[in-house]
Amino acid sequence: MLAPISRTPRPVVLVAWLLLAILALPAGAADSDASVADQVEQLKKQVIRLNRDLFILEEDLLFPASTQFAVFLSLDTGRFLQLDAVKLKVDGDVVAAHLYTERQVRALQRGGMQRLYIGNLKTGAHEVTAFVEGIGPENRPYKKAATLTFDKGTDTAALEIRIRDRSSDDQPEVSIVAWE
Amino acid sequence: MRAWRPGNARRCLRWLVCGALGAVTVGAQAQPAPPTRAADLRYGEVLYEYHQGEAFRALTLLSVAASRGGIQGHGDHPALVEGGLLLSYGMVNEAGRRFERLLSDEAPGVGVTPEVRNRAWFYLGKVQYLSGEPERAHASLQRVDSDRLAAGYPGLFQEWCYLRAELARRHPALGGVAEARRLADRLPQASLWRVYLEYNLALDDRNRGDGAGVESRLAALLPLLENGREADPDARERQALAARVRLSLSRMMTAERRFDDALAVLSALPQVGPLSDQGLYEYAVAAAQAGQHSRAFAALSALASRPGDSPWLQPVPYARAYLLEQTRQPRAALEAYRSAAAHYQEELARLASVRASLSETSILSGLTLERDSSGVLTDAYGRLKAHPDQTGLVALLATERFQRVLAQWQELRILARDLTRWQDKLETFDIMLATRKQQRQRRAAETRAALDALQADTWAERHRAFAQDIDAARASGDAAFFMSTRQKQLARRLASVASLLATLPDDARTTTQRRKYQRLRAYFEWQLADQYGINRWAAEKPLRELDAAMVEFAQRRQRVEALLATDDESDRLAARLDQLRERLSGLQAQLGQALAVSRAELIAQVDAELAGWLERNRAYLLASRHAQARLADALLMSGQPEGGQP
Repeated sequence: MLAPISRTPRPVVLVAWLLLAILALPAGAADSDASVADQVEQLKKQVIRLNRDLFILEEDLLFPASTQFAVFLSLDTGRFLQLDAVKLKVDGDVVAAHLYTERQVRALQRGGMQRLYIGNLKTGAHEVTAFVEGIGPENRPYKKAATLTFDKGTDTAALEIRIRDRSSDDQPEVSIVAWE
Repeated sequence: MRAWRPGNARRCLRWLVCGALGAVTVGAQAQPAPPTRAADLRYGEVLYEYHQGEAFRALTLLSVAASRGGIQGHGDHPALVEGGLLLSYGMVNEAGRRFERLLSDEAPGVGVTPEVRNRAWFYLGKVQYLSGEPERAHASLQRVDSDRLAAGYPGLFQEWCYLRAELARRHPALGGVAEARRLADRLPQASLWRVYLEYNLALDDRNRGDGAGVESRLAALLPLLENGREADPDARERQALAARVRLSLSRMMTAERRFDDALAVLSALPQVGPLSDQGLYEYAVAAAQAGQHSRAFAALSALASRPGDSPWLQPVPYARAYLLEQTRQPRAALEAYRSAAAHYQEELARLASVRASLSETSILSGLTLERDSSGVLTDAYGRLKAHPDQTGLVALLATERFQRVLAQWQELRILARDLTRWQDKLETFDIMLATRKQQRQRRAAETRAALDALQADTWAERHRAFAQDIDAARASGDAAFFMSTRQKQLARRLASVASLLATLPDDARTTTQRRKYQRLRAYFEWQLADQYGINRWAAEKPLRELDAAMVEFAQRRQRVEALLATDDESDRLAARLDQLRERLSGLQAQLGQALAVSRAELIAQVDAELAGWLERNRAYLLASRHAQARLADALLMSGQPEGGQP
């Protein structure tokens, strides 16, 4: 007898013919493992919590709130710039550089924000410069820099390198903005 | 092959994981609107990880955000994203609870927005569908506003149609075939969801005995599946489904003894793969049963020339000999049986050796792992993208149970690796804290030296004595004590004049001068009395200021002393470090145990598969030898001994 098949919504993990074979397996094969799966779920839950606490401890230890300084990057929407790389200078020193994978660019295009850099800064005036490279309109190499001078207070400071499409002249626009 | 049933899914954690990613991905991909900016940096970070499929990291960041005041400006979306991420990360129970919690507030306008609620109903329905709870899934999916879903999330809408149609198709009480048909018609013609539904509906009709038009309906699916672009993310799945459709068509044609048609259909199958192997084998058997021996030989020859270890290749040497025997070619058959026996004998030795050296490493070496420039490719949740290339693993890897254990094992390995990284970091933190402590001690010593140089105690004593003197003078009304500098100079001059007058002869001039002195003295004392308040205020004001300064100095000194005595911040960090190290160690132990169980299960499954493979091999070996003996006897009895002339 020919049997119907089901499509389980998921990414194609295996080669597809295997996927189909898997979908047509007999029932009841996995009964004995339900509790193991639950155990693994519990473990995952604990690991997430531990990871969170370790993450927070790491920040508290390395980047105390009074000196913490972070730079994020966003890409909205990236039609005029195929982002390749970003370099970040703080007070003349290169503190971060990143080459982007296709997957990372997609994540940025979908609204994600990358924490490009986190470090410590003294209170007072500082200068931040971001250098953005990629392929711009008409498939031409594109390079642009943006600079911001800001005053670091005693609270955490966060800046955003914002890459936006400027529809007025179909060009990408790079700016650095400070978050409150 | 048997049908997948929703009841299976309750036990199929892995597929829920996969399903979740599908849900999340489809949800993300289906958004028609351009990406909206994150109103909260933490949420932006979460989305960055989420859209890269880094569920674990995204969940961690969400948890960090929650412990630091939550995400602002995005309403309930983070909760929905968290539910999807939990689902993606294989935490089905937790995901189900999140969606239920998200939907628990039924009051309109309160809590969850209609848009989020709509999607949450969809995801909850999907969890229930995958968990094998058709009635609950149906109820949840029915609460989805399909028009709203179609407008905002066309990908989710298609999936919603599919899930509802499948429920209806399998459960007449939930709508039956007519409802499934209606829902399938709402999907675009080329949608993969629709193709699955069309395939299933066609096969349902055939199995119910209503076979008219099924073949053409199935054939109509092929162009939809095979004319796609290579770059299409569903390309592999379409290709696999096309193979499945071709296999079904060939079976139908073979059953009707339309061997040419069946072969034509099968000829378009991919050269390598269990479906094409299976198709060819079934075709060979059917052709042999129908007396179409040349076709059967052709199919078996094609199979024999294929590489790999597909289960459908194992019986080929025996089947070929058997076919020769059936076609009355006893000498060739005898030779073929002999050759088959030798083949099976070799296979026995090889399989026994593989089985004996079975280990985690050897299992991994039997899988080709997809890689890219950044290393071994995993799916969004860390599972290996694996292709089998070792004996027995082809069929085994296609089993749900093995896939689940493999995925679980891989997940545990990733968790263990993450924990090891943290352990390394904690060691670094230890060094960091120790260094800080040393630096602090050095600075403390410097600070103490600076404090000593200030002679703080002497100054405090002098202040105390001065205050006491003032108090005493005030109590006794000692105006002289509070004299100003000028008054003190005058008093000294007056005293000097008085001493001088005392030494002068008592003449008229002296008497006049003494009277003058008395007047001056009286005026001075009057002035002193008159200005007593002012003088006292002038003395007490700086004293009060000094008091305040001394208090501030004392407090500061106390703080410095306290800071020098204890290092609360570092102690707190060290305590947290210790506590986390303890938790980390406990979790590592648990993970180690789970990993051992998982590893043992993995090896046991491969071993069982190899044992089955060996058993079948022995059976074929035995059958080949029996047939060989039988044929040799028959040839001898018929006067055509083996190796002799007829």
